[in-house]
Amino acid sequence: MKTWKWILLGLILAGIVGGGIAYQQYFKPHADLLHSTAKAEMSAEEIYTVFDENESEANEKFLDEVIDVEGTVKKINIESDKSIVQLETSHMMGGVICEFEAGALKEIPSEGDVIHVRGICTGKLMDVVLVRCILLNNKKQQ
Amino acid sequence: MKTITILCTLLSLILFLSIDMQAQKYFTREAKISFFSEAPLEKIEAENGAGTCVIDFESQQMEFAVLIKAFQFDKALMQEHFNENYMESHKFPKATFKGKIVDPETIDYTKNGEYEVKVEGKLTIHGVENEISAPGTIVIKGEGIQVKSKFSVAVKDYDIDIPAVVRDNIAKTVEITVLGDLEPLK
Repeated sequence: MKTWKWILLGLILAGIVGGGIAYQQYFKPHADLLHSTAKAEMSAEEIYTVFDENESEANEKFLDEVIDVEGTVKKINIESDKSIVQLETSHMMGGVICEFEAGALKEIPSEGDVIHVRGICTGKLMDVVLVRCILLNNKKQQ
Repeated sequence: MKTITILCTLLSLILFLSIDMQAQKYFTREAKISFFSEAPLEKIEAENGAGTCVIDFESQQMEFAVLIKAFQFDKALMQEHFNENYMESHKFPKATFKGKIVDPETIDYTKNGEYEVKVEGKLTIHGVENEISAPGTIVIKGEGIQVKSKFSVAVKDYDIDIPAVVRDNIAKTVEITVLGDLEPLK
């Protein structure tokens, strides 16, 4: 085969591989939290306190990280597109907000239940906010 | 005499409700803030369902805050680029709005209904603060209220640097939509 044919073949192969990688990157899915390892396992009280005491240090440590949080359900808001579960802490105005994508909350907890949630930490406003949450277990209120 | 007594009672009740509503602060930690921009190659949209909003009807002040990393995109890669390349959300984790209803006289606090208002204040995104003015709707409904607003911001006003190679694929302005159901702050 002539040299130019090898070059052309190489270019076509490089194009196919490059295109494939670009396609894969462009449509890559969000992190699969169920099969992720959590960076930390904490109670709602602990994670809120860490952010409340030193927010910038907590941001450095936990922002964008997968965190497992256990806490008591204070309030639930189920909507068609996403659901929000608030976990209580001893702080009057602050807690942990867990945002579930549509269909992610397989079992709907009740207020007062102790639940174990895995989510991605996005920081703190009044509450520490976890997104793309999944419910790991739900201990029904006795 | 009886009619006057009834009228006085009704008047006092209306006055009481009106003062009570105006003195009230309303709050939510589940405000939905979304943005949308349409460019030749594709549309960019994301939603955040955990914004905080406080409105004080006595002073007409209102505040919104939102975590940048809590904006969720359909495409993971787009979300990565948004956070790392454009918004630098590790450096500027929050966006805030602090403003005021400038025409509160349009709201009848005693009557359920939708009231169109104008809001002015300071919007801080990517660490840059700008004065903005936006139309809004306040819906008085029983105990709670709903706030709605839709307005546009120019990307360049917030020092968001868009690389030349994708500049044509990203719109110059972004439409921001706000929707919040607020409860009385007790």
